[in-house]
Amino acid sequence: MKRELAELFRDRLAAAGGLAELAASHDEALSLIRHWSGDRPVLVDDHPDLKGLEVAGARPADPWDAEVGITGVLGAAADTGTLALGPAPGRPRGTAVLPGTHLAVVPLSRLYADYAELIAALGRLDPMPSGMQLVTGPSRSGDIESAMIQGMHGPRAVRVAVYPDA
Amino acid sequence: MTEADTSARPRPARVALFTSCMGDLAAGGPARATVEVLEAMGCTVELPRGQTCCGQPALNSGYPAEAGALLDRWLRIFAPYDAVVTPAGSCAAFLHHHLGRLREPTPGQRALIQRTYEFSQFVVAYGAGLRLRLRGSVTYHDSCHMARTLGERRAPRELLARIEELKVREMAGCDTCCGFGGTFAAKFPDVSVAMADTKLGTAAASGADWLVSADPGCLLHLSGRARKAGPPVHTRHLAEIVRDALVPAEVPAGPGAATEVPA
Amino acid sequence: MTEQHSSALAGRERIRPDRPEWAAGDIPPHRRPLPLITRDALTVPTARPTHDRLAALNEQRHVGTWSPEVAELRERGAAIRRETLPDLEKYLRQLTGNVERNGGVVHRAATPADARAAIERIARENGVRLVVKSKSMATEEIHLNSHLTAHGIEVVETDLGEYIVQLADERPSHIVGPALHKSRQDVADLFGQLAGDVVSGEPDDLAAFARTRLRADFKAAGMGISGVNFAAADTGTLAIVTNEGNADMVTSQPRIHVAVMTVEKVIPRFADLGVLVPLLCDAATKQRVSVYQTLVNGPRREGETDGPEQLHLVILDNGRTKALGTPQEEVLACIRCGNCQIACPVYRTVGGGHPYSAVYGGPIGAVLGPLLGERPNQDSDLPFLSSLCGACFDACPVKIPIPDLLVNLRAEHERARPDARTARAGWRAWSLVWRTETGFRVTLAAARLAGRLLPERLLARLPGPGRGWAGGRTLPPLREAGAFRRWFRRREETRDRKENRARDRRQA
Repeated sequence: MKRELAELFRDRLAAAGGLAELAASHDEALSLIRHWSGDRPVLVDDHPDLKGLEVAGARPADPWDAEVGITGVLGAAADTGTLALGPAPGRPRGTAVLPGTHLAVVPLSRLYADYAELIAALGRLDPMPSGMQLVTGPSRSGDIESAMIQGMHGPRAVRVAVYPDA
Repeated sequence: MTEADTSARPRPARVALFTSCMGDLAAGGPARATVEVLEAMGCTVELPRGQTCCGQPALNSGYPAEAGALLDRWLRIFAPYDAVVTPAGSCAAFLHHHLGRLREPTPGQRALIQRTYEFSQFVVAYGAGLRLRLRGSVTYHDSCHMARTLGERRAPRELLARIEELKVREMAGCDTCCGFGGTFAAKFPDVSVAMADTKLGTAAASGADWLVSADPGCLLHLSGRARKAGPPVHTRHLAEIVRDALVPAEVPAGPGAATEVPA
Repeated sequence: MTEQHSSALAGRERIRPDRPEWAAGDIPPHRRPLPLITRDALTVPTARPTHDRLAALNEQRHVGTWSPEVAELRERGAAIRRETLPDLEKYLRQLTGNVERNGGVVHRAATPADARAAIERIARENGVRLVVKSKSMATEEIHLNSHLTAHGIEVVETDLGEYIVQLADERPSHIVGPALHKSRQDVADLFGQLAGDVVSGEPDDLAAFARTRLRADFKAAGMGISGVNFAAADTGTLAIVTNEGNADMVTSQPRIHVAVMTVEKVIPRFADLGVLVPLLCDAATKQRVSVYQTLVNGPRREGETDGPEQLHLVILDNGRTKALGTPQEEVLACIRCGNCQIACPVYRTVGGGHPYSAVYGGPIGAVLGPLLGERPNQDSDLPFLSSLCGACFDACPVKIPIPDLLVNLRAEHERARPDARTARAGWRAWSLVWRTETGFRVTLAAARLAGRLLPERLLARLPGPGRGWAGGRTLPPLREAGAFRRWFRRREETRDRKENRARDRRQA
């Protein structure tokens, strides 16, 4: 059942221009992230789901110079391919919007069937974080002749590793 | 809606024609064709002499009180009939939609509106026996009020599809407004005409011989534009196409019928 | 922190504005009559290509048709959007309480002037020189950009379409796609003038050009101003929906965030976002959800390294609450998807929203404009700029009966305008005459006589609707007035005679 949700999430994120891979374990998810990140300048959130992650790239002095941002999630929605992020100390809002590539890990336990369920789950957070970012694929614009432009102000690439947790 | 729940019922005995003011003023052809088709179905058509207008032009111009007065008159004049049929889709839509907005209708008045039909609705509901044949091709323009307000897109197409040897070629944007819009056509003539050109252009691109519609308003506007300067498209009311397609039934033997046949 | 001048606007003085007066960023205070403006609009070179692009979009998106899933969302969304209307003030108070509890400051503004003053004061008190904005129609309504600019504060629009129209000194021509009236070449020419260099017309290159220039401003700005798509009363959450990610920038990088909403944006519950966001996105761009929904619950908290230090929420009325309790209140259910504009054949034909000469063009503008408080009576004739075709109603995700509202507003206009005395008398006379059979017959006879005796050229010149009609169309065949009734009568007489003869024969 959860496996099917993960596949739906992957397909819907792909439809939105992003990419998700279904990892067999948390370790495998982290190694996917490490691989995707390469040695580019990187921002890594202080998030329990990223514990044990080691990346080759260095943290730039100015976050605006980062090329990769790595985050965990509050939750995700399968039927839309949406990630929900919340700021906290060590998890600035900029990680997912300033760099050109956004990488995230999603544990199956926080993957909800649809967008409304995700919203309901976020609504149950107490206290709510000071903000929430819901992200579905790479930034885009249709403002010139309705032609699809991928990578407007936010990332041009969004890659997600989904993994089973206990 | 109207045609679905009436299909099982017997054909109404007394049928009144609601000509519409446009039919009386400048679009007599569609009204005449409607009478001829209904009679071919075996209906006796009556023309209530006191009828004038349903009130729509006044309402859309911002005069609901004046519109309501004519609507009241309409309701009185058509009350005695078992069915009312009109070749003006927009007027049928007006009656169905605005009765409840302009008045608090009695159950009797509601029932009268329920038995008020746009031409194709009535023929589809009660004219199953008609045999129709016409060589040529048509493209159907959905008039806005008929398609959207009355919700009737199916009956006219069903009727056209029944005509043997007639090809129906759907045009792009078949339900895009032609730009008539009643007083809009006179208040914003340039925009109205530009919209007509778009419609005539897509109709011409369909390659059909005739642009057919069930609304005299759209047709006066479109034919007026086509004649003056627009793309050369021939227009025709749906009732006229159906009338032209009537195939005379086998002449039944009997003394009454014999007098009709010329030597 | 030092704030430089805007990088995105550098070179702006090189741009030679090339647009009609009625497309200007600030609407001319005394506009010409709509029939004249719309006539001009048809002759603007971009009108036809814009029409064709919009028509293709309309067909391709099947505007006005809903998948079963979305149809269900539409039912629920329509109900949610009307839930607040019977007691809007209660929800606004609840929202205000929760935003304040979250650490935000709420400013209630009855008029555009109140809203402008509040925002200017926040900027001045904090020494702000550069403002980055994400899309907000409410700020268009209060003409915020020119106000702040006049007070020495630079304002940069960061939504790509808004940036384009800002550079061109125009207003958004569509609620969601502000530059839908511009071709890629138009944009390339505009960016080329700005840069003083040739710019490629590929959309990706144009976007990259804007991205690079705007990035510096996101970093440098002292204040971010955003609109609000939905404000949840129960949690005080402000939801902003974008695809570009500029709202994420605007609400997270500058040290002050000012969100501007109009009163009707309040929704009862946070959970309603689960219905309204997918509904809005389907209607606006046929996406399941947009790329970004930015939910703001207050300023940054202790230990957080970005996010605004101050959050201000400006809640603007501008005449809206006067519509509550009247049939026109339905317009307050609007979620600003712009679908009715794409669906509207008049809007498409005149090349988008500019010729409406109001903040909001198209069907929704024609029902909303007359309610707005700043220019009473100026926009009351907008409801006539519609053929009442009803495509807007089919396209509306929250089922606002726009055609009925237009008809209501036409009546209000006719009641209120002083120069309608002749028209009022005319319609009254018409109604009296057509209330009698004789009167109607006299009309038919007169029409027939006119059709016979007067040449078409003369008929077309007489005052009245004929003149407007005859410009581009032949007149209806008035000489045939009454012909149908005569034909019907003759047939009846013939039939009667035949029946009589048959009876006579039978009796003989």
